[in-house]
Amino acid sequence: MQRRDLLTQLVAGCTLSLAGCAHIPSSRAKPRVVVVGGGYGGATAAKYLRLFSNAAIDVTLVEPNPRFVSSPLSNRVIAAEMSLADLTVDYDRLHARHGVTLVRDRVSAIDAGGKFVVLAGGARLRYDKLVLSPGIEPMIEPIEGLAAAHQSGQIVFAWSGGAETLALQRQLAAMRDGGVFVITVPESPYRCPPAPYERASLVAAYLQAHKPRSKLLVLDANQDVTAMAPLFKRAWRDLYGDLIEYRNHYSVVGVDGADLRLRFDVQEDVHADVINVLPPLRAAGLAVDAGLANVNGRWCEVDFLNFESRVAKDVHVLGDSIQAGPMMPKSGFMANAHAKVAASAIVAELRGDAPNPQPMLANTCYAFVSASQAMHAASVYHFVTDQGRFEPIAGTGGASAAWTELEARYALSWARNIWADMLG
Amino acid sequence: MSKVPQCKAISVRLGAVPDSVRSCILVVGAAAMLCAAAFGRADGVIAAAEESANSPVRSLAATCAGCHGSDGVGTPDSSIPSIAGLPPERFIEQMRAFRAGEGNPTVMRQIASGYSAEQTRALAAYFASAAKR
Repeated sequence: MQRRDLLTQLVAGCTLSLAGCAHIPSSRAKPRVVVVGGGYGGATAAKYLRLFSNAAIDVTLVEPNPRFVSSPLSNRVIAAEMSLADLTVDYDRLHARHGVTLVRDRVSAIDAGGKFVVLAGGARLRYDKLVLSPGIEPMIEPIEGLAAAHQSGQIVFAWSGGAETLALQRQLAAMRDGGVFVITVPESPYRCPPAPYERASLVAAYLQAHKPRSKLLVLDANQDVTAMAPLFKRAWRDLYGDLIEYRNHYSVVGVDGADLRLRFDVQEDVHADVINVLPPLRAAGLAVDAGLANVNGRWCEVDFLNFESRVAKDVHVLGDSIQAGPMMPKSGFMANAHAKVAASAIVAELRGDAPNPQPMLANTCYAFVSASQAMHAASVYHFVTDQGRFEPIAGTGGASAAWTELEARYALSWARNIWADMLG
Repeated sequence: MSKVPQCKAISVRLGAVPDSVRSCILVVGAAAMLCAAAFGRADGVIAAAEESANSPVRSLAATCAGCHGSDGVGTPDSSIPSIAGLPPERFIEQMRAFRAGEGNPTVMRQIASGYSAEQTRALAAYFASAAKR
């Protein structure tokens, strides 16, 4: 039977017993999707579930923070080029314009069998589909001394925006001229591949202007810069000369927060004035605790057609916490793109239809090399059916020929436009 | 008497009633649609009205929104141009020029190469009418 025929009969049936219908609680009248996490993935999913369903789905977004604070652009805050307020957007339009129910709380447990989540406040939220965009968490334990150094505030990560971004800004501002600022980079994959190198560039720009006798050391666990390598290296040489020193194959195994010292698997210890450790990352604790991080206990494997977890039915996982395909960076832009594919598939599935069999993703990563100059890497991805994954479309992947002021303006506009796409 | 003819009878009479009454009936009709959604849930049907809302071209166009804004409308003062309301022929010509590397396409050199001629035409038609949505 065609859907419309079915619907016609259902409408006709209803008109005969309208009084009874009117008493059906609205919570039962519409399918309900609960979205957990209001970042680039979750906020986009909440909005696009409403857009793609023409508001026929009840959408609840659970997010503990009162406002969205972006991690992209936060390297500019560390270098005192922007304020955290510039990176902050209210959630209220998701409710006012798009009818998303906002719940300011944290999810403490997921019952995939019973199809509900438990909030830290104790309430249960039932769902037909659950969307998790929980982000990442640092793996602190493998690095000896890091838990204590991080707890005391001597060593910060500043990898999820917010308070640690400001703490690192203060450490940079307080560093003596002639000091050494160290950034350590974990083995790939980690959130936002170009970000450690952008951070190095912007911190170098700050040091060059304010503390020119200082040195910036990038100690990378990888064999080379993991994104836009030739461009970054050329920018460092051209713009900062000897101020930046890059060393590959440096894997941190221990830190001493009081003495500000780093230990490595092979090399000599390094002492510094400011140490910014980017620890290895995994999917956020909520996903790990729910058993969704089935790849090495770190990342969540999903069906890329609808982003449904491979281990939990009707649980869809987005963003940095997934086991991504090769060449799929963990970026805010990608999380936004995941969310739209997932939202479309979820709307289709709740209608009883199959998801779009040929979804696409696009990604652009902008990176600043100085306060006023940026460059990009970009790709468009299509779903390759026999591989069951997204791959870059041949001929699309690539990067800027050089960093420019024009691309810096684009990068700032990109941020405002994608925030509006998620939250406006 | 079956249920379907009765439904048709209501809609036939709609044409002859004053606007105020008609809007009343439409409200009832909307309630009935809600009921349909309630009953339809068991079969995985949520409503037919959103079919076009979840069209493949809308999903394709959503891949542009990450830079150009939702439905191609950017924020005020954006350096990245809004693409909502662009004449389709201009959209298609721009995409050709980006692919060819003409002018200074920056990121669009990579992005434009990801869309086929057919997809480009579909996007052009979508964004040409997007401003009116």
